[in-house]
Amino acid sequence: MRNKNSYIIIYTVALCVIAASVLAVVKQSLTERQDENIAYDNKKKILNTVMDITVLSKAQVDEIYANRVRPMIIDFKGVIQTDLKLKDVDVVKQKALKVEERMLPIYRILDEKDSTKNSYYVFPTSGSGLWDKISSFVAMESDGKTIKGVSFSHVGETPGLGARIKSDAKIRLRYENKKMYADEFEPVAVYMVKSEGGDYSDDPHTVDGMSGATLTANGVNDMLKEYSLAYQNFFKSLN
Amino acid sequence: MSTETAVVIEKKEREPLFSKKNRKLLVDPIDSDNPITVQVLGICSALAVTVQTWPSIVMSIGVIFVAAFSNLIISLLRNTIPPRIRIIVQLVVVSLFVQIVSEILKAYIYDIYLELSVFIGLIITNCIIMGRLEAFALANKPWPSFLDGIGNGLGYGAILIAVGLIREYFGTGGTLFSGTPIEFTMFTFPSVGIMAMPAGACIIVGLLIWAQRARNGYAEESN
Repeated sequence: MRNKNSYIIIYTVALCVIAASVLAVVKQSLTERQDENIAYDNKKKILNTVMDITVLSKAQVDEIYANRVRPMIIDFKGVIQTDLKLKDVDVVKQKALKVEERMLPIYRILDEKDSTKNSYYVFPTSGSGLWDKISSFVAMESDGKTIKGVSFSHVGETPGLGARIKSDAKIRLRYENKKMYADEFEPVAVYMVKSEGGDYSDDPHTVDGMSGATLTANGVNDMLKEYSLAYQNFFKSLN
Repeated sequence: MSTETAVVIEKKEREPLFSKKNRKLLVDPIDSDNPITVQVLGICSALAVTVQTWPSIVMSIGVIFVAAFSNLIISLLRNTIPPRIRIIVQLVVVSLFVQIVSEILKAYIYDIYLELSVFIGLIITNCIIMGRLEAFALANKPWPSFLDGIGNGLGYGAILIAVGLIREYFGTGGTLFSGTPIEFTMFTFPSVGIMAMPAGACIIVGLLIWAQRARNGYAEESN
């Protein structure tokens, strides 16, 4: 009986339906908590580009974010879109559009003492690594050219190689004080070289590479280049 | 390499829940029939997730959960599963539990979820789980199968945590449980770089296998 085709087919279908239903219930009941976690994680990533958050508690992160971070949406020309909210713009979906047509989120980080001043501007990026999507937040100084800090994330880069963009804090620090734009706001971005161990402290547009992870580095380079173009007009308009 | 043993428990009238045989199912895999050091299963994730202790503990709990419940379900279904698609059925059940673990981690310990990321998904392919389903759950009653799952999960976890402790201690230069509230440092010394890399895990697992086999007098069967 157990070898009849009809039995096998019915058995498979029933098993799949039951398994899928159980998963659906689990997923449904946990979604809210998961979304909270993702939102909190994003806050941490944004703040991580401008300050050391390892010493902060969750409550402190929430408080600093609420007091000092002001998201807004701009278009390619750098014009602020007051009718759009952060939740209306999905960075990954916008990537499917031409750079000129995209809506771009940007986070103003207010000055710690004087909340009428913007200390930094943080923008999100999205790109492709070797295996899966990569993303980052890039914080710019108020001059609009200099990088204050970056934080990278990835989905499935190779642990110990490409995954270092996130796990190895040294990689992140290499981008600090580099220039995203040249003197006239040409979108030069920052280029991560192949091979590791060189000294690029004199070159404002080059950082040391990751040995064994050239393809991830290429993904990072392409991503930064693309978004330096996307945000070019906005940063130009600051001066 | 592996010495999977299909243990068949004979039918008996109302066996007590923790009879000697059942206790053996629970305790044996921790020592004399350990999935990593004796059966040499599940090595891949043992090398990958053991840089720190806390992720090792979380991973162990995940594997114990998946092993126990997929053993239980497969054992309950064992007389209905069509033999021709039994591997597929096992995979569906295992991946169901793995996905549940993944969703729970994502909801409650997001940091660890991100850190373990692909390795949670890879519990599906962990040879310990499939090995125990094939070798034990398909031929035994639900309760012994459940205990067998927990036992093998514990055996896996014991090695994982041991490797995690050693690697974290030497890899960081004296810190344990970093990233948790009970983080502490004792006797700081220059960190041993290789311990932070998979090669370090390979060495530690090798030493553990050696130590345990020397103690138990276990040897691979030679042909």
